Amino acid sequence: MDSQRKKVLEQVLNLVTSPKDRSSVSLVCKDWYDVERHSRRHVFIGNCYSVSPEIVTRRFPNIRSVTLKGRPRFSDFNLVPPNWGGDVRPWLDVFAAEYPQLEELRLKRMTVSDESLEFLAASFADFKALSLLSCDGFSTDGLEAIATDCKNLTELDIQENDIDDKSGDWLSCFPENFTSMEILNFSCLNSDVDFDALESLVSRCKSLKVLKVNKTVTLDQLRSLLNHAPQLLELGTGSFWQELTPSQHSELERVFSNCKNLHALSGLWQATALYLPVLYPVCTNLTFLNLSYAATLQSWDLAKLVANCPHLRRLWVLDTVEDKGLEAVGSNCPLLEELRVFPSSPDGDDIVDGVTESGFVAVSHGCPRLRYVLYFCWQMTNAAVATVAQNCPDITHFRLCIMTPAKPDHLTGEPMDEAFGAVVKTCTKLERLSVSGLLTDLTFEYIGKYAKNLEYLSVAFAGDSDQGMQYVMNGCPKLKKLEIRDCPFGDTALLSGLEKYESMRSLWMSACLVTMNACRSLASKVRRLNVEVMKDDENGDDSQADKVYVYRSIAGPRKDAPAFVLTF
Amino acid sequence: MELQLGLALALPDHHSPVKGFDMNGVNRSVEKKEIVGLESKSQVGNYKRSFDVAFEKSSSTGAGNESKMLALLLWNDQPNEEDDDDKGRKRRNSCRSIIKNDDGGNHVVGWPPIKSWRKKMHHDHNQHHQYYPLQNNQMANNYKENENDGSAAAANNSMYVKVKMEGEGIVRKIDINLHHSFQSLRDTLITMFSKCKSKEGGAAADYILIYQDKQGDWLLAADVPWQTFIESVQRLQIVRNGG
Repeated sequence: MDSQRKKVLEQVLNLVTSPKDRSSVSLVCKDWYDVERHSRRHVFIGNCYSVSPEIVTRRFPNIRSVTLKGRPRFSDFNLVPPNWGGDVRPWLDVFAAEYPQLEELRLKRMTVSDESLEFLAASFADFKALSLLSCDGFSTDGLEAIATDCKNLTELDIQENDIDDKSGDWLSCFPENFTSMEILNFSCLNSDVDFDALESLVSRCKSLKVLKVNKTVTLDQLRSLLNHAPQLLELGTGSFWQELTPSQHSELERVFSNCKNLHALSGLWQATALYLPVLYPVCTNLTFLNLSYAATLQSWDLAKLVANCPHLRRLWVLDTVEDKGLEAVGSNCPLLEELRVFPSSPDGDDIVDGVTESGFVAVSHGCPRLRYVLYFCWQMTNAAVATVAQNCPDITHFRLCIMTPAKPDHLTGEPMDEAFGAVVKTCTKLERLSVSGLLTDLTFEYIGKYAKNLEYLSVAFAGDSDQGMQYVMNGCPKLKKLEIRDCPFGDTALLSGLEKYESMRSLWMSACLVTMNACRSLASKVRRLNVEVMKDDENGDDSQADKVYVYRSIAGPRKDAPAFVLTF
Repeated sequence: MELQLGLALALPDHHSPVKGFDMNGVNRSVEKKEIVGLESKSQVGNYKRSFDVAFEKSSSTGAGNESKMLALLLWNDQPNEEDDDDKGRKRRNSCRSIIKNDDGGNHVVGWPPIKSWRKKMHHDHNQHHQYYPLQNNQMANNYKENENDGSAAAANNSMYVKVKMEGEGIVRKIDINLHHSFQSLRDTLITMFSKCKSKEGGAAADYILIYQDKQGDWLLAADVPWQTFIESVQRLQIVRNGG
């Protein structure tokens, strides 16, 4: 290919942004591969140990934006021991040398020290966007460094992190002349913010589109912020309760009614019926309402609120809204595409009824466009799930958590096999599935047979024998991620996926029946597969593999593995 | 009672998890007029009831003769509450067979699959009042001592206390530090429980607010200055005034 043609191809490829499409392009021929790698600006790495930073920078010399993911997802639930790994530092060191032009870094489940954040702030002159999701290892000191030194920052998104929250002073570290912020989210922090600094920042960043503050920001402070930023598209409020004077109240109503572009709303800590009406003017345009922090909200509050939200596409709530609240959603939100219902009392220690099958069915009746469901409940029936699948055949993500492990259909006493059977048969676009309740191998037979587009499967307390997992490994042609805990799946089950693991991103098995020998055997048979075993305690049975994490890698076994991780 | 609820999942077998619930049986024999007795300040003063008397001893000694002492602690004597308790107990017992004793504790680690930060948020929300993996009465006593030592308003400028309304199966929580007077607290609670109010057809004046102090005693809220109240309140209850 001559240079002229390469230039043309490069121009065309600049319009191809989807990572999947770009991957396909790179497979066409050597020339395309070459043009693609030089013109690539963004790279997504789903597992930081599947490749090394050296390999990435060698292949893609002109990257501006990196997304990098670390620990397995079960670390969200404390199943991965502390200090397992996933430190971003080795990546930053290489990026600083090879990508001084780096503008954007999105990290998920990685360890990010304050030193790393300081290094980041000092190394990339034109750094613009930092997003940290479910990360740990840093404190507000690291945020101070980012605020002080990243002069062109447009996005700082700190979500769901385990952060050492020393103080809210970091907000005052943005320079006086700093005006570029577009997205600011610090809703997961606990400490009091320097409100004057926040207000000043909000008032001078005229392009601010997304603002999510933490719960220490009061209603009256929110009023001031909104006064400066009526242009916001997304808002995360602080505490939504405060004693307000009548004039403060009417002023709050006024600023909300001025937010004509607002389409996403979250926060609403301590929200009660008293101040919800101030939200009604913005409800009309809302497409995303996240009430999953509003532990005080109840069914009738939600009913009143959603009656004003005809355009809602995404809704997150706690189960305090009960079935009645969900019925109101079904009656008022015909366009709903995503519903997540979280438990208000995950350990079941309060007397909370939560939601049941009836709320689930009610939503499915009223919301035929539903595609994404996450539903935590204490009871469910096969018939209800089958009805949901019938009513919403376009579902791509179905995550049902019956919180009592191995609980059968509470009306018939039957296993929940037919429920998930109905889902995989009816919802042919299904990509992600989480199963729960009492399940036999039949569930997995259904999944293996019908879930042709399934990419991500999560299993807990289910199945009878190795056969269960074998059904999945022999079916499900598109499977990428499989996570299993507390299931009677042993060596035969593990080894049945021998030919599949290289095409998958990862496999997690904890508290199953897998032995060390099987792990060793798997590793020896499949090159480019890292088989890691985490031992729970030294006194346990040496032949058993307590926690197994299997992933493909072109970087070889990792070098930073702690002592409790054995790599085969 | 709340402590017992938190425990039910994995109490050792020799310890009956239903002990705390026995109170319901006892409670039913109690008549409403004893709750009315709350209104008399002197009576409240004379009948300072300790947590131990109320929960531990009464439940372990049969306590038929102590029903009078229990009057102020009754959450209600309505059948729906009973149902809730039964459901909760059954729910937890049914999964005992697969409970693993990770970290020597009582629950399945990482189940239900809620992100730990969200759980933490929930813990913060509930502050000291639950989530202590108590294993026996000894630990329950330790817990109580700790609670006495520490200020409930420790972190975050928020101080959540549980509120129970007579006749309601669900316990709500409220951040006391958002309030500066009994009036505003009362208004919020009335709004919070408004469904139940309309159901019962009662006016706000028909209800009185009682609270549990750090010693575990239940007292009339309006009888003390606001400041004293917020410094000592551990739990709230709204009871019907005279029925």
